[in-house]
Amino acid sequence: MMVVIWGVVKFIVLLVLLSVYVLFMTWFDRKVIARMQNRVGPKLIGFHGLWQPLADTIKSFWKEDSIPRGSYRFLFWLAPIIFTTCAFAISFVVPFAPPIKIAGGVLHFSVVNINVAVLFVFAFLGLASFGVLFAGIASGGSKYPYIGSQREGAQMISYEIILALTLLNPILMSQSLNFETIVAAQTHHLWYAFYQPVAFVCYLIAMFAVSAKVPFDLPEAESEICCGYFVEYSGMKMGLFPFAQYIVLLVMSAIMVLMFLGGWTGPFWSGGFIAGFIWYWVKVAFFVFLFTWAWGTLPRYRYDQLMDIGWKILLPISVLNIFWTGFALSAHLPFF
Amino acid sequence: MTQIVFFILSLGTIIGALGTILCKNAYYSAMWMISTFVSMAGLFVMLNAPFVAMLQIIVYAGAIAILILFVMMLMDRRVLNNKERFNPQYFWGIILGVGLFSDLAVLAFKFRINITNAGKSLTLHGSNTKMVGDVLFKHYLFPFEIIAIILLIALIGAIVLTKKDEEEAR
Repeated sequence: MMVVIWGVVKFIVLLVLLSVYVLFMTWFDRKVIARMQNRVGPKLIGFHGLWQPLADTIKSFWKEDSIPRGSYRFLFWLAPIIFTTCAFAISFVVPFAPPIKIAGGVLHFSVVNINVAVLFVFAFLGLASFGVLFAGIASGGSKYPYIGSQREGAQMISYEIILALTLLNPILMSQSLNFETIVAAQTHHLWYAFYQPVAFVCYLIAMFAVSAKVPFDLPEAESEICCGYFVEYSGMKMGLFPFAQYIVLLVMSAIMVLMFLGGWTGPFWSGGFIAGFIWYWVKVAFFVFLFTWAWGTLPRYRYDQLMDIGWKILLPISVLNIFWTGFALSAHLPFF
Repeated sequence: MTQIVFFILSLGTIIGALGTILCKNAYYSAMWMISTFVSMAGLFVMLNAPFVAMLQIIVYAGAIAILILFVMMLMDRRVLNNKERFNPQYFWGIILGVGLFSDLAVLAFKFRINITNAGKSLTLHGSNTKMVGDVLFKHYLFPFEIIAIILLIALIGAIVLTKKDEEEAR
């Protein structure tokens, strides 16, 4: 019974923290991109425009909610709900701080600490893309959402394969599917990014494609298909799509840090909860910043280029890399 | 507690399956099919097989259902929505379904299945992800590789059958 109560408490805390994170992430994005483009960005409401996201949220709650006439009403309602729910579900298995040993056992900072956590992430990433697909289908034959969601479907299938193949290397090396065990395995060696530089780079590219961010934001390319799958949505229903996308982005960065960059361990001053906490969040914040940085600087790839990168370059490289890892592990090469 | 969860999940599976075949709109059918897959994954979790459950969602709900939806999106939606719900041979399907159901019902009655055990895992205990790998890659390595090759042949066959030569296409 205690487990259930703890789970519910962690769940509510995570829900609140992630919502606050998304609110201020929009402010952060706008501010950083404004600086990159020599503008000031939001500055009128609050300290350097810090309350701007709150004002935006209140505004979008009171907006008129229009539903196109030819749409499938139930799917139209369901699509943002599926997307947001699955995005939150992914974040349940990701530890957001190092575990603490307490009197009764170990306190984990993920909502549930399961042994198949990596597979859970893949499962719900796949389910989350149904939100986008249904959004396009339900928009009543409107063509831009339709094209956008088709793109999302193809992009998700091709890049989830690459994501799985690259993450297989750390899984093989640590022989575990649990994030905390994988981090613990990296304390004995160097971080896995040093053993697996190829997988690290492939994951970095696939991470951008899976969370559909610039330079791979083809499902919602503003200049081509004017916002892709959520053109027909308005008000808070529209707001839920970027909301879920920001959560996926954070979780992808967190998985990158946990699998390849040693989680809460650092090159110096490690050990102890506070040190681990700071190391972990510095690394995660760097990758979250990387997404904004790419948004401000990189142009968008064409769709056939995206597919070529995925199937003709990244897929063969990651398959060969797995062969190499398997060989190195079974032959007990030095450093492995 | 486990019984209640079990009945909710099995109800979800059955309603999803019925929705898949009874819905007039093909997109709603796809939605119900996904809900069936997810409920079945829940049943696998209750049987202490989290690995199978996750693969169920990744492969069936994540990959196959997306491909089905994708094919439906490439079709004209007026054609899709004007299709007949059942083809003329639905009679045989009904006979087969009723036969299978009565078969299972007779079995359940004969073996006196204890309904209080619903949702309890009686044979497996704890996590068995590692065990699946051990069994698959140590004891059954040869059949596993044979299946992999058969799947590869099917894949190549599909490509060969559907891909037209450049000159033929003109």
